[in-house]
Amino acid sequence: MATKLHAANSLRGMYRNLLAIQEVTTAGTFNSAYTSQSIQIPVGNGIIATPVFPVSVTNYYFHAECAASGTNQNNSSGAPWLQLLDSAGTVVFKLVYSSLGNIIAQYWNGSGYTNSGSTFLAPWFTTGLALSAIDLNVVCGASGSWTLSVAGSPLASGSIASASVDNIARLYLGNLSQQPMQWSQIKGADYDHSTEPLMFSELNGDSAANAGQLSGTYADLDTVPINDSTFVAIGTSGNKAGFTHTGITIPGGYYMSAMCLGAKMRRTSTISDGLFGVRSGSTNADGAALGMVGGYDVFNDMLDTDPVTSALWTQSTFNAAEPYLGAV
Amino acid sequence: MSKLVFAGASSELPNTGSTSNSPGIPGTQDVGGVLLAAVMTQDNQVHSCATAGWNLVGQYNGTGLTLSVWWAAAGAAAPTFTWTSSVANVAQVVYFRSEWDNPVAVTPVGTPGSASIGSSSTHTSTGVTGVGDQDVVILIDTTLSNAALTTPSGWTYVADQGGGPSFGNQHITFCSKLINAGSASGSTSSAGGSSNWVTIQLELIQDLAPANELQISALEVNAWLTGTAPPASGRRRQGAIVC
Repeated sequence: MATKLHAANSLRGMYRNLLAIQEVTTAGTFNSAYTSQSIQIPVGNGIIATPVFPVSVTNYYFHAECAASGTNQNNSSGAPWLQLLDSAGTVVFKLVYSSLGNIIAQYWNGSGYTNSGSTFLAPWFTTGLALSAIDLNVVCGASGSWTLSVAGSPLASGSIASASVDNIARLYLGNLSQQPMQWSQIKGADYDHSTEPLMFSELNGDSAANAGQLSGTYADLDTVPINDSTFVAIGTSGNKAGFTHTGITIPGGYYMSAMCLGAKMRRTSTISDGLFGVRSGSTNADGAALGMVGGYDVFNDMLDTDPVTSALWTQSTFNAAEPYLGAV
Repeated sequence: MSKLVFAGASSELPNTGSTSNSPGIPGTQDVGGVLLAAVMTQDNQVHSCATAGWNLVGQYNGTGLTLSVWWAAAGAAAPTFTWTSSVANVAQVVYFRSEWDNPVAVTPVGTPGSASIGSSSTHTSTGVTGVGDQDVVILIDTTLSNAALTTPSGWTYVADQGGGPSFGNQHITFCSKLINAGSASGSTSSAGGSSNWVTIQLELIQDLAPANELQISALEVNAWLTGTAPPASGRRRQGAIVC
């Protein structure tokens, strides 16, 4: 059974380590058919990260679109651009800077990192503001392998010969310092999803059904500039705050595969936890408690079907559904 | 934005031979702030503190010296630390204020990492894991030499205090690191006093809650499309980082 692991088109579904990281709408840094923005990691060694995956996998497929604002990315040798972590938090595979505009793959051998495959010139560092659709497949284990494709064509590959590459449970994306780096269409799964786009839907406002339980304004959910000191809040356990969102038009030839929710949030004081939910028709469907621990975390919820009807999503049911967040 | 920010340190000089040390506390404090004290004595004296509100984090013995770490909520009285034999000692209190508007105090100090000890001029420390997003980790270094620790790469100098050599050299150094990626502070290695030393890292927990709320700073909705009609599975997948 195919499992979707993470999905984000904006910083609202990604953890970031620098306040300077922002969303940008510069033409050429994202595909406007599917989203209105990309995540920009500024010059420096900033990182954006997914949540820990709901399950760790041994065969991981990553897809994203990226662009660099300029050419000839440069950094100190070994600076990471993409990192995969196992369930223990060890970086088990990474793509790192090698030389001007070049990258090399490395895997964890239990005590250090072993180069894998040949150094390759990354086209997104030589073109500037031109989107590159990247697909990476990593197979864990002593007989593992990796393959990186750009626009569907293989670019680089190598073998993994270490059982210390045991599983993959989280993704870090970085920059290589000299030019800002943009990311969108960031998805991961345990199957090849290279031809499955992620369509962004903007928030509109309060859900009619789950309204009046939220303090703050929707401007506080804006992530430009990023500021975790502004937020909307639910002040009572058991209350829910619902959100309407813009309708999407599915391009011809595509079907709905999942509703993907991402949120960065925290709980305080006697609020013990939080949850995602979806209101479909006139029914609320709570998700499981998320296991929040106090500080800001980023969470994903990937709903393959409408949780109220268990039916496959359609354009109309997706557009009518109102995701909500609940205080436990 | 870190919710705990360094805002001052005590300045009393080290004592050259006594059974107690009263380092004072720095300046004005606000609700929600945290006072952190480090006490070093020669030998492995057992440290105590009878001042109300002061809590022992732990005591860590090196060779010929010992370090104890204490915390108190802002507003606590200036502490007096005691032990049994008259030995050289140094103590310092640092204060971290809360940036919350209306903080509610909880235990602000996490489980410390493993103490490291040594005797060379290269001082190392063991990192702590499971650190919360935007939390501050404190590195405390103490040595039987009157030399501050060179601030490790990626860390920020906070304060130091030392003296000697009439009754033996001693020095304490505080450094801090804001954890804004991942959840581990990492080990350190930097130059320090060329004598016996003890280091410890500990987390100052940021979760001084401003309210009883679920606070949402970002929310995103996406549709994952596919080129073929997917089979119904009825599953949902949730993921979260613990940072």
